[in-house]
Amino acid sequence: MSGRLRVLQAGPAMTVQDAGRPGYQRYGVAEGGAMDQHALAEGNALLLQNTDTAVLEMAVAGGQFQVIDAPLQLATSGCRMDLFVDDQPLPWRSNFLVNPGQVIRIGQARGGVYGYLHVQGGFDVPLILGSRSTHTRAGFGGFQGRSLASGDELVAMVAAPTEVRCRRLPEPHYLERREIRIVRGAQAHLFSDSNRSTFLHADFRMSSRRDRMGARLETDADSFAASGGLTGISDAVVAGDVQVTGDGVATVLLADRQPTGGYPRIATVISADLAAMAQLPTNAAFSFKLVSMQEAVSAMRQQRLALAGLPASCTPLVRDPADVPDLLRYNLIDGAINAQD
Amino acid sequence: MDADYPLFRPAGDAALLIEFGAALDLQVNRQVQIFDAWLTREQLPGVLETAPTLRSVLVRFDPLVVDIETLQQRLGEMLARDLWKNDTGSMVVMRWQLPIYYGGDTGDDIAEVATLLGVSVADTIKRHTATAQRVLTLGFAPGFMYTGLLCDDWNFPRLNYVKPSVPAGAISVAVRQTVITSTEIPTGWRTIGRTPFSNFAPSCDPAFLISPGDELCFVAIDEMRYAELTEQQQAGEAILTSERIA
Repeated sequence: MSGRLRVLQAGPAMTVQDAGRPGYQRYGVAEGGAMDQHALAEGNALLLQNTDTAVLEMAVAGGQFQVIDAPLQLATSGCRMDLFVDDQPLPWRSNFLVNPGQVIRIGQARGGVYGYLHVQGGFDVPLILGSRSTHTRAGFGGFQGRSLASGDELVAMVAAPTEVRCRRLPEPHYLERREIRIVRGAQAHLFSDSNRSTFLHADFRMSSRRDRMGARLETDADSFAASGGLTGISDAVVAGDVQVTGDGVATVLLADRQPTGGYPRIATVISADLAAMAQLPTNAAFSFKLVSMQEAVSAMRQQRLALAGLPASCTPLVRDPADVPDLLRYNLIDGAINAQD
Repeated sequence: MDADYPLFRPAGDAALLIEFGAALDLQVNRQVQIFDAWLTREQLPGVLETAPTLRSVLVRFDPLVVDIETLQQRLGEMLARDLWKNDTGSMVVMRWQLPIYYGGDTGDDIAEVATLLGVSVADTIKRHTATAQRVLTLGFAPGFMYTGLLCDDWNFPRLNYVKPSVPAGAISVAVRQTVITSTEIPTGWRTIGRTPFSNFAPSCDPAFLISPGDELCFVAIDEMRYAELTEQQQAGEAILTSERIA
């Protein structure tokens, strides 16, 4: 029997996500998937599994869960949240084994927004249009097309967890990024030079009006709205597009964005900084930095190399003598540690 | 086509937008669809996905497989050859009979639309069903269809407010277009009816029956027929008749 994760108490927006469903933009479906694809890859690296395995995405706060029927090999990634298994604190961004009956408590997001709970084998929800991602607005994918609520149960894809030694991810540097790199947007030509310059020099704050579709940005700078040449014709939208409405409000469009939009896009966040953008804490001050296409692609290459090297760069959790309390704690959870490692 | 078009516009570091015209017209829209069909057939290295919209094609690519200059050059060469323009063989066009129950609870703007057109409700339906409409693009939400173009007297604007929600299957009009929802969404368009058909059936194959470029013939049905067809659609039965026209 596969282990299950029962939701005892659900945070505000917990959904099952994976790498997304590319290929359907022509039918009105943006690719969606985890808001922080870097974290998705990290947690799956801890569990030595495919980067596309379905995970639980927790926005702003986690919740309480109970493992039932069989042990689960779990891992956490993304923005740090307080983690307890039966009142024992565990470090974030590491993997651990939880036995049936044990209760997992995950607290508020600290220094970001999205935390992830991974299970060995991934969560068993139907594959729809090639993905297990939840698209809550259209009500499909993931767990019944919606956010999780108390009483829901997620089943792990693997029947019995295999031993994976407890390891910890390297420190995440992208979560501290406050200078988001951009390239020109597809409609940048609709903005005057001075408006583009105002935008580039503006100090921004992340507003609380944000969700998986996008995030509204706040600034005290002069308006940089496009003044003329608006056709009102919708074109395709890509992840990271910064659209500016007529009243000058800038919104960055993220995973569950509408696939087409008629508002002009002044800039587009580079692929390598999408995770940092999505994770910016509410009220965090940040700015944009214009980079060349070469720099954007070079950053993407570095990021992909780093992700490919992740399984090797995770460190054993029990080696450092300073972590002895952790060691003892881990030994309380049987089977998680191979003494030969 | 304007001499300056098509235009390349980088959309971030992993996509190119190719604009075929400044405004929406049926010829520009057809070129978008034919070029998209061509791209789909050619399967250029590094291209991950293409999406045709009203007047442009989005080409998403992996810049670690093909750099933007190389891709733009290859696309430019394809566009310059003009071969694709007459290559309708790459494109399958279906004509669908789409049943619509006009008026009712969902289509409660039909009287207002009749007033805008200066005709009766019965004549509004007659005029809306008079000529086949092209699926110009799918966008906004899963399976959501933009179709057109209706005669000039349908060139009235959208509402100046947004209705919080219309159900899947809502048929709404403005700016010479008819839009058809497949999920429940907010809308700023005037809703004149509802179809029992949904162009988004995630558990079926294909999940999206109607594609950009297809033609729709609107067929008026009564409330009882609407109820029958809705039941059939929900049971997973095919409720549309179609023929291949290209």
